[in-house]
Amino acid sequence: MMLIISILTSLLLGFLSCHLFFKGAKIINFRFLVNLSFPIGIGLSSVIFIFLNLLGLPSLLIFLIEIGLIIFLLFKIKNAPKTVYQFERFNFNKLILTPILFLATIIYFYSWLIDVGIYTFDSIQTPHGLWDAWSCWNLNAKFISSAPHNWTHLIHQMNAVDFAPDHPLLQKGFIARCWLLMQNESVWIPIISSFIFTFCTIGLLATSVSFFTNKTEGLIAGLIMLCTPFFMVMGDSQYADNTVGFFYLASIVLLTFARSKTSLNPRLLIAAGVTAGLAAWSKSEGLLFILCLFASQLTRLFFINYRKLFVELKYLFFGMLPTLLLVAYFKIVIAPPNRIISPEGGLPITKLFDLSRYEIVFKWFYGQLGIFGQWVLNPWWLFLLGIILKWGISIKQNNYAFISNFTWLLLMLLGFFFIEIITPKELYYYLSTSVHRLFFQLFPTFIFIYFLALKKSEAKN
Amino acid sequence: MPHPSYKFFKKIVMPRFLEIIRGLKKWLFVPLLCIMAWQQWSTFLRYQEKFLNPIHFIKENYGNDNITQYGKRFVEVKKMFSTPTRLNYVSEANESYGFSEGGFALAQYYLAPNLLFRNNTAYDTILYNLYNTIHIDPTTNFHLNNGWHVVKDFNNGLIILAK
Repeated sequence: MMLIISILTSLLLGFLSCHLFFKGAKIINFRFLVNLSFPIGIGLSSVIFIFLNLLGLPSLLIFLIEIGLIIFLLFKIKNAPKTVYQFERFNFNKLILTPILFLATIIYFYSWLIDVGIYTFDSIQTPHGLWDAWSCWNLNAKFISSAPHNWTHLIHQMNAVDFAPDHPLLQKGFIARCWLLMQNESVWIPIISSFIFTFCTIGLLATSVSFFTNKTEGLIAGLIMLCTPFFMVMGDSQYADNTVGFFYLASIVLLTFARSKTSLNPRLLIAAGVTAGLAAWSKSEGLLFILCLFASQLTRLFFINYRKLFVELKYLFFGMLPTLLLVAYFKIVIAPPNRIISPEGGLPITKLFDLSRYEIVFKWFYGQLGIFGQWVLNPWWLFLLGIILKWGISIKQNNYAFISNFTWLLLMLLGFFFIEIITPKELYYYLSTSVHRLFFQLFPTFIFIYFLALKKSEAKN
Repeated sequence: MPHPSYKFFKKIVMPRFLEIIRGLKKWLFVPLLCIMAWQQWSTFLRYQEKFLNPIHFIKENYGNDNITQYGKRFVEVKKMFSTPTRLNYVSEANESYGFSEGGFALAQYYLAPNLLFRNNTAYDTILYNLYNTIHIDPTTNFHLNNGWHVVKDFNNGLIILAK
C-alpha cells in the first residue's frame, strides 16, 4: 500500500506543478501533460526529500510537507482560470479515413504492449537492475534510507571508482524516500521509477512531435523509440541514462513550446529551467547539458536582440537555480571528488594533447552509426528516408528553435567527445561502456529536433 | 514560341509526375511502418517463450535471480552491526577479476550502510567472503596467525574476524 502511496504522491505533485506551468493555456493535451509531469514529479520529490533531509527533518515530516504542498497546489489551481483537458479518444471512423494513421496507431500499440512485456520480463529476471544500477544508484539509495541522518558522512568515504557516490541524487533520493516511507527496500521502487522514465520519454516525444507536426509523425517518432531494442534494455537495466535523457527532451520541448508563439511564455521558460535543473540532479552529464543549453541560446542573437535574450535566459536560470544550488552543495560538500577531475588517472590537460586519443574516440563515435540501438537494420537510413520523403528540411518554419536546438545537440556531442578524451579510466574500456549510453541520452531529443526540422505536411492529420 | 514537346511536358507529364511523387510520399510511410513492425516482431521472437507462457516464467524466475540469491547470505551478517561499521573486506586468494569485483560490490550492496574497504588494515573488523572455499584454513591464514580471531563463521563462506 505504501509503495503505491509513495509513488502516487510524487506523480500528483508533478502533475499539479506542470498544470500550473501551463496556466493560461485554454486547452492542454492530457497525454502530453501526464508524460511530461510524472517524471518531473519524481524529480521534485527527490529534490524536496534531499533538501529537507539535509536540514535534519525526519522522513515522515518531509512526506507530510509534500502532502501540504499538493494541497497548496490544488488550492492554486482551483483559483486559476479553468483549463480544458484534451483527451485523444480512439475514433475508429476517423482513423479508417486516414489509412496510414490507422496503420501507425496499430503498430504503435502493438509495439507498446511488446515493450511493456519485455520490460516486465527483464525486470523479473534482473529485479536489481544491471551492474551500474545496483552498485551505484540503488546502493547509494540504501545508504540514504538506512542511515538517513548520517548518509552524507558515509558516502563521502565510499570508493568513488566502484560505487560512484559523486553522481547526483535524483534517482538515489527518490528510491530512498520511497524505501523510508515503506520501511522496506523493495526492488519495485527502482523498477517502477525506471518504467515511468522510459515510457514517459516515448509518450512525451510522440505527443510533442504530434503537437508541432501531425499525429502520424508523432506516432512514428514514438515508434522509433519503441522499436529501438536497446532503449528498452537501458530502461529495464535501471540506468540513469533514460532519466537524464528524459530531462534533456523535456527542457528542449518546453523551450520550443515557450517560443512557439509570437509572445514569449515565461512560465514555460521557467519550467524548462526546472527540467534542466533536474537533468543536473540526475547525472553529472546534466551539468554539461546546462552549459551547452546556455551556450546554444547565444545563436538566438541572430533573431532577437540581446536584451530579449537576457530576459529569456533569466527565466530559464531562475527555474533551475534551486536545484543547481542543491547540486553545487552536494558536489562541493558531500560527494567525494569526481573521477574525471581527480588527478589519480593523470592530469586531463596532458590527455588533451595526445592526438592518438582523438583518433580512437572518433572511430568509436563513428562506429556507433552502424550498430546504434541494436536494430535488425541500421536505423539511420530511416532518418535519411524521412528527409527524402519530406523533400528536405526546413529551418525557416521552425527557426525560433531549430538553430539553438541543433547547436545544443552539436555542443553536447562535442562535450561527450572531450569527456572521453580526458577520462582517467582505461580509454577502450571507458569507450566500450559509455559511448552508446551517452548517445542514448541524446537520442529522444535528436528525434524531436529532427521531426521539427522536416518540412511540414500540407495537412494536419 | 515554346516547342510543342515542352507544352506536352509541362501540361501532361509534369502534373502526372508530381501526382505520382505525392502518392509515393504518402504511401512510402507504409514500408517504413512495416520495417518497424518487422523490427518489433524480431524483438518479440527473442522473448517468444516468455510471452507465450508468462505465468510459468514469472513463477520460475521471481526472486530467483543471482543477485537476490547471493544476497541471502548476508542477512545474518547485517544483523550483527547495529550502527554503521567499517569493515576490512577479504575475498578468495586466487579469484578472477570479475568475480572478485562482483563479490565485493555485492557485499557492499547488501551490507550498506556499513562501509567495506578492500585489504585496508586500518580497520580491526574483517569480513571474509569465501564463496568457493567456504572456510578459512587456520594453519596458513595470515589474520588468524596475527592476532585476529573468528567472531562468527556463518558456514556459507562469510566469516567475521576481530582483533
